[in-house]
Amino acid sequence: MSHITPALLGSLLSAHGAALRLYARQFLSGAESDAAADDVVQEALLQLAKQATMPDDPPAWLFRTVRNGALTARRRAERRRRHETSAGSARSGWFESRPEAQLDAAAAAAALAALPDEVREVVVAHLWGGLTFEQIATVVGTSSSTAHRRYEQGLQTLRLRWDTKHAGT
Amino acid sequence: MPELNSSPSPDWGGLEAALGSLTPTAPMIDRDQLMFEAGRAARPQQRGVTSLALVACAAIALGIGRWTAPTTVSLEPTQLAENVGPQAQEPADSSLTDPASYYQLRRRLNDADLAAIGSSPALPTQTQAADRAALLHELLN
Repeated sequence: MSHITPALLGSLLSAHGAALRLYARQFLSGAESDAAADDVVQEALLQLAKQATMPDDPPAWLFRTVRNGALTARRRAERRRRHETSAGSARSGWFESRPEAQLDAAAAAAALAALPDEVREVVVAHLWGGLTFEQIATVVGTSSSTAHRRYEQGLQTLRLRWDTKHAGT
Repeated sequence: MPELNSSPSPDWGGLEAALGSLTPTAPMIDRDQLMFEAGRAARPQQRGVTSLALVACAAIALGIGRWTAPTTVSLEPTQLAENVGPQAQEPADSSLTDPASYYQLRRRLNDADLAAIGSSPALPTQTQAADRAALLHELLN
């Protein structure tokens, strides 16, 4: 068992920071969700630094910790402001707007946001987090076949949404 | 059964590629601050270990100190006089049994002191003082 070094922590932040933040954003809403997501990711990295030994699967461990932290933050935020819900602000800042992207960042975020929570988190964890379905199963607390089924369901919903949109325009 | 770790179906390839072309926004985390906080978060464990080591060292030092310390027995002056007097054995060497020898004179002087301590806290009488002076004079000459 190895210890968590600052260099390793930095490399984990570089490799998974953006995906972890996006994953955290799936559970958070409201104007302060960007900052809340950053806090959750930072707290997860700090918790990793506190571990006496390295977890068996650091990325999966981080995603699970971020998930727990984001759910806690969401419950706290919901208690604080039950009436403040803005779908537009909730999706802002999910993706960077880049010309080489094949999809419009805002439209993709809106389509993703329309997915059920349990489906969306699997899509995000696999597509942008790079986790396998076995890893997702441990993070979410389900079987890998269920995670796989949710992923397919998510992609199917997204494609239907895009097809409908393009057919309409 | 489909391969779980790859794309579920070739049909999804285009959609996955399109979605994958989107880059998630990087977290606004100050890397230096994170490293500082991580170091601070890890410190209590080290402090705990250090404290434990200090306590263990102190306990060992105390144990060794008590183990190696000389044992002292406190005796009352009267007990001292009783213990010293009768238990003092005459030396086998005949030169030491001579009443004028240093050993015998010194012994008599000690006996006189112990007797003075054990008998009374008051000042010694003039005769005792004279005896002691005579003994000292004899001892020194």
